[in-house]
Amino acid sequence: MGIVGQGRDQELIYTPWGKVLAGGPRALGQLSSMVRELVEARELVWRLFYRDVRAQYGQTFLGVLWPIIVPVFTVAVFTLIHRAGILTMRNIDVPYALYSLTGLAFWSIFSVSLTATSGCLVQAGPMIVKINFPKVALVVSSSLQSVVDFFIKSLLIVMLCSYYRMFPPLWHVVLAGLAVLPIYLLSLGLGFVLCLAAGISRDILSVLPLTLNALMIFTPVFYPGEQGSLLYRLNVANPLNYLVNVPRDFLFQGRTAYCTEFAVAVLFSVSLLLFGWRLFYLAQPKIAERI
Amino acid sequence: MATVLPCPTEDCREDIVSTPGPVVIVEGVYKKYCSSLRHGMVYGIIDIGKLVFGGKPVSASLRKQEFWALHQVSFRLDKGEALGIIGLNGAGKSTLLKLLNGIILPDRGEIRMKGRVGALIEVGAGFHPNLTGRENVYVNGAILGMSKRDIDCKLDDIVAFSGIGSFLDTPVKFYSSGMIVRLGFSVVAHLNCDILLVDEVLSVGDIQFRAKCYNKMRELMKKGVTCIIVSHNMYDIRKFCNVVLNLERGRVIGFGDRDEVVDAYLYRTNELGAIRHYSAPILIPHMRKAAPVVLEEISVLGSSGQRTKEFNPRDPLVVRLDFEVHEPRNYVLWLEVIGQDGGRVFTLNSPVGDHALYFPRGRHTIWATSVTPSLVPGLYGVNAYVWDKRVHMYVDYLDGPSIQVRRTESMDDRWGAIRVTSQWTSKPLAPAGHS
Repeated sequence: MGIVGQGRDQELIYTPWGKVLAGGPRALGQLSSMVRELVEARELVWRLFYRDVRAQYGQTFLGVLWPIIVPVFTVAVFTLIHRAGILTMRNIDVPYALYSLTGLAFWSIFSVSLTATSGCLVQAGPMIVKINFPKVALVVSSSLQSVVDFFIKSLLIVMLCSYYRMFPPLWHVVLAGLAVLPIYLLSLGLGFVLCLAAGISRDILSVLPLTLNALMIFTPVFYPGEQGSLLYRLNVANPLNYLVNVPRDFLFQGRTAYCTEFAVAVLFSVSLLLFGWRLFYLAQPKIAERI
Repeated sequence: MATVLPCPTEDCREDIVSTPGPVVIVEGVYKKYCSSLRHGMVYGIIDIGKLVFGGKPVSASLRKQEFWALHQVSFRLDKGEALGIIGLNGAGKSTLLKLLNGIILPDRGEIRMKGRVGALIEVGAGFHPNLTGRENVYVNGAILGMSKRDIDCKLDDIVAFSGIGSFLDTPVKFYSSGMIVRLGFSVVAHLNCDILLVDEVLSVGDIQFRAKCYNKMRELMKKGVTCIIVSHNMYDIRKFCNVVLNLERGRVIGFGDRDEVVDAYLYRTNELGAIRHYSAPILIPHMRKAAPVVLEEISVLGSSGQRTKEFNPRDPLVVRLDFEVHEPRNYVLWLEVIGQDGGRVFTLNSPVGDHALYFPRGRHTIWATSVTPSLVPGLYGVNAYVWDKRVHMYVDYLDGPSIQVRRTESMDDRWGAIRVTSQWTSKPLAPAGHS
């Protein structure tokens, strides 16, 4: 209870400017106390995550099958559209089903994580207004749902790869695995901001699914950006474009033409994460009043 | 091989000698709330913006649609003290508790808490219906800040305390609501803390479980845990607290000795008409319409025969009852004296059975004088009923005035509900070893 790292006889002071541990670090301490809070809350993160996963897959007949059925269906639809010639494209070296499934898997990290995190404060409202606990655990544990989702989709990718008898070398896989991290960080950073925003105004929760759908179509997830096209030019400044496509390039080719752009996107993601996290950390007590 | 770590027992906690001085200091605390959702949204954005981008964090003055939920609240508590916070709904009790818990921050002033704070405010937080009782205990414990090891150690105690027994591995959705509350309470009750905040949760569960909760609270207090309790139940407050804080519309209007503050609060609420109608029975409407007797007025008289509201502890109670009889027959008149909580202290009745008084048609006045015993200081209400012998029913009921029995300097009539005279005798026992 109380504050992170608080000893028995240490005094905790609540002022209009925030909570202070008597004798503790003041100026320098913010990032370190943010990290400490998260580290101390790791058990809570795990418990909440476990609860949510159990809750999600518990009372359905198909249970664990749902996260498999949905992407299979989505990919099937896009493959059909592709076969029908509505979605024409050049320069894909891999079967389209595999191409779209990997795109979907990487994209879903972003969309699943954002969907889960944006509502987490509102859902936990009754708890937040009555119990003092590190709310960062709510956000992080919700965002971890995207990891489960990604894991399931990865299994599908493995199955599809073996169907096509296409096995990328291990170092491709490792590289892609590392390159996929930034999109998770970005979603976490955005999640921090959005769940606060939803805490103040519920509009966010209604707008988000629409925005995510639009973004998924706009970002080259199911199709490669055609050089020179309008979409391509618009996507030059879209970090999601690189965060989804670079891991895919790594997986299938082991290299990418967008190193600089990817680096910038990573930097952007990390900055947004730090910004969102700090915002969240500072706004915690304010949000308990408004929720 | 993994080493088995010993459980952090309660005993080892007591070795730590804590520094003297107050453990809770609340100084000039103000908290404002917004009464409009829309304004609240805007202010929320502004406040968070100010927090993040610097600048004066919170404006100390009121903006449009805002009001002070707490206004200059200050008090101190020493280790081991038990504070009761009382006040009408909306007085700011829960807000104060949230501030003490650190859930929200004051807009002005400062709160200092020395030691770990536990909160018995929300039971069963984070419970999920699909998870078993055991799983939920771990989730709930984690939310309350307990480590897995901590819960492992206490699981047996928690389960025993809750009385859930063999249902521990059943999903919580198959529990009765009482079982969920009991399990939730048990987890909270096993928190390790130095300062315990309690918000009206003692009213959960059945009588048996409530007794357990009371004992648990006592146990914690004996260990020197400082308690802060919010309750509307003055018995609980008197039972557990040594100091009481009375809030009214966000301001402290009383702080100090338990009995003084509680009495002042009760007199005040009585002025606001809170105790009246507390025990009024429900009379069947059609019976009332055709009431054969109508009670008109109850007057409480002092020794001089004048109406009065204040008595000394030993004064006899004289009650005058005015009523009108429409159907002449035998009736029994009842007077009940109710205490501050609405419970009956005693009743007086006119003769019953074959001796029931016969009343002819018309208006009547009747006097009842209580001879003994007498009331202890406090606030009482006097109500009247009429029992119709023929239909075997109460046919009318009337709320009477409230009266106050004055507090006296002597200690002998302070507690209980009634005062009885008693005789005491003593005899020296034979010294040990002799028969």
